[in-house]
Amino acid sequence: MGLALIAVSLLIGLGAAGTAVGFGLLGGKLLEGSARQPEMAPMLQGKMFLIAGLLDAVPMIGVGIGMYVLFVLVPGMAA
Amino acid sequence: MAQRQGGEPPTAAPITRPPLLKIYGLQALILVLVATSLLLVDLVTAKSALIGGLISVLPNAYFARLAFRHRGARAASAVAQSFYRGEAGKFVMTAVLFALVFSSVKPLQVEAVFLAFVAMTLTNTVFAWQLSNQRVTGTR
Repeated sequence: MGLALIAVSLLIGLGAAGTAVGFGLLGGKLLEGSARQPEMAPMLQGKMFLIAGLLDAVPMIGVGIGMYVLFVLVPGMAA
Repeated sequence: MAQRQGGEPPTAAPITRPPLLKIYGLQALILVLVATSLLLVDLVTAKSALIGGLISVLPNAYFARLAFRHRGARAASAVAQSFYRGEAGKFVMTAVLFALVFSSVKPLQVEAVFLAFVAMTLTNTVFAWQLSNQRVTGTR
């Protein structure tokens, strides 16, 4: 049970950390690009939306698997 | 404000909002059609697929709504802030929805939930890619 809790913590926590780092870089590049070429800002926003979807797809599946482990495989842990 | 006093800003072209309602409505329609067709297989499978798809579509729609709340170069910092808020909300919403579903919906076919979730996430990426290409052609 303890190992499952550590596994879920790592699964969700590392996924969230990776997404946070990626979004930080993405937001920084958006600000930089908008400052350099303001006329490209709407296009950069659309591109950022696309990359954001790709960036957090896998961590979201990780969140789902973590919740599955927490609430279905080891149900006593969540109670 | 200081730039407006000197006349029109150099980027005065209208900035159109992307058709988010249409995109997420279409995704929901695809999901309902798939779930309806799965009714021929099994009621639990259809219900699970619908739930799994909704877990993907609802947080993504929330994120898109926040992401495109502000437009233009002058609002770049507000855009970045909205993206951060939207992403945090999406992460929390997904976790809470998965937790609610796994703890309270029974019977549930877990494979169907995850397959529908992944399929809807991929569909969202395809729609975002099309949206991004439209933005490119629209600005040139």
